[in-house]
Amino acid sequence: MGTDKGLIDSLRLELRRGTLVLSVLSRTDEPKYGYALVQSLLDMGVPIDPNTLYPLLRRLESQGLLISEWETDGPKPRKYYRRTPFGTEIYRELRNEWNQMAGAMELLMKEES
Amino acid sequence: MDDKDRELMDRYVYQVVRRLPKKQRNDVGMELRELIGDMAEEKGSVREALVALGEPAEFAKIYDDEPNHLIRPVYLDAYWTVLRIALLCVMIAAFLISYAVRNDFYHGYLSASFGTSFVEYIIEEIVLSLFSMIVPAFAMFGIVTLIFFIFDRDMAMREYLNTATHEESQRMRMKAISNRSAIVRKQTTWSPSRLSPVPDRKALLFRIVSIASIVFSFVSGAVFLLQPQLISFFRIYVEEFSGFTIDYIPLFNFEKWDLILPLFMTGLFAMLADGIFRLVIGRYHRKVMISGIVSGVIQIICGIVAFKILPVWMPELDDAIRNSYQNSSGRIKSEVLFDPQVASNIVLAVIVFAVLLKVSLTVYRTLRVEAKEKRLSADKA
Repeated sequence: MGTDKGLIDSLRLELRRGTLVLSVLSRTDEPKYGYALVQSLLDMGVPIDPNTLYPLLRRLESQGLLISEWETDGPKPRKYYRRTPFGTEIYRELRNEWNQMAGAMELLMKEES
Repeated sequence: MDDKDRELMDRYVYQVVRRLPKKQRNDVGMELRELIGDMAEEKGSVREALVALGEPAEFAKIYDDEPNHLIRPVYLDAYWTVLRIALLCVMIAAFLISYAVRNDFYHGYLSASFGTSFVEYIIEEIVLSLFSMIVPAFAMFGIVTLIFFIFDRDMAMREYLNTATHEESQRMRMKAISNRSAIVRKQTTWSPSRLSPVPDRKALLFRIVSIASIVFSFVSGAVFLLQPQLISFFRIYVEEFSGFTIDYIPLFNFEKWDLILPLFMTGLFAMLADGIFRLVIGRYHRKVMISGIVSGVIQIICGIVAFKILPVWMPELDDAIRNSYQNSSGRIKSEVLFDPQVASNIVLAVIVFAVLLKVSLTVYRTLRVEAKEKRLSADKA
């Protein structure tokens, strides 16, 4: 049974991995710092490990989808990320793709049940 | 966050960023402090936050933008340092030795006349010597890179075996056993108390001093072993009609070379070993201090025996220099041109001064660093 649980965990991880970029892009229309994003995604039912999120933010920034800025006026320095216009364009395309996919998956599941 | 928490966070951040490429370190360090601070607030302590983040080596891996390194960033600084030293050593030694070999230096007075101008001669010699450096430099580059590559892969394998899951670990263990002697250790769970302290910048040794010692001792050793006649008294004089003449008058006594060479090599080896040790340890430490004292004592003893007891200088060196003057100008010099006693005293004074300066600075700084560390640990307690 242990193996089944391991397999389910790994498949669940794989399923979620594909949605992470879309999740992060959806929450960065306004500037947000890393841990606020972790909390915000968790509140929406999308838990994400900081170990996964922080490198992902840097990758999206290097791809030009996000832009970051250090805010040093507060009690501790914070790095805020927000979507670039190019990021917004990509986000819209991915969102449409997701909607189509979700609809199709819904149909598939209904038929099966 | 109190001092203890801050110290723990600094240790973790240091262990992560030292494994990343230099251009990423500052930014990731700041970001990581922000994250640890936020997580500590939520989880109640920095320790809990660090446990959740996991082992720094693993954390650094997912942060690395360019994970396919030939040599990973954690060893890159050491690689560049060793490569620079090795290239400097081998290129300077090749330059000098190729010059000596081309000019057919031998163990005695040599007077060589050239039909070209002195400037042409210098340019030609420099170009030829530069060519002679190319092959050794490429060979050294390949050797150092290969050694670091093998070492890095080996360390990566050890780290993997330490952090892999039990199943993966077992599989790798079996593979390692079947391939070669196993480099396997027990899998252990990570804990922030395993983090080593961040090195104090003021406690770091000046790398340049260690590098200078290594290069000087290696190059001198190579010249003494392969072409000792290069250490000569050079006299260059322009001929009346065309060309110029170089008189080479070797300084050392080659009749007693089998006694002198081991002393020189022992002194230089002591200097080389101390230089390498200082570079490896990298900070003021009691071991470095002891190594410096032992190496210094060996160098001074070798210097005293070579320059005060053995007849280190070529016999009748003074006459040879006098003859060279007479041949070039026709004038006879009556004053003493080379006094072996004075020369020995000057060389010995330079050796003793250099050793005492290095040892006294090392002792002073080591004691200061130790006193500071003691004070800090007393404050913490």
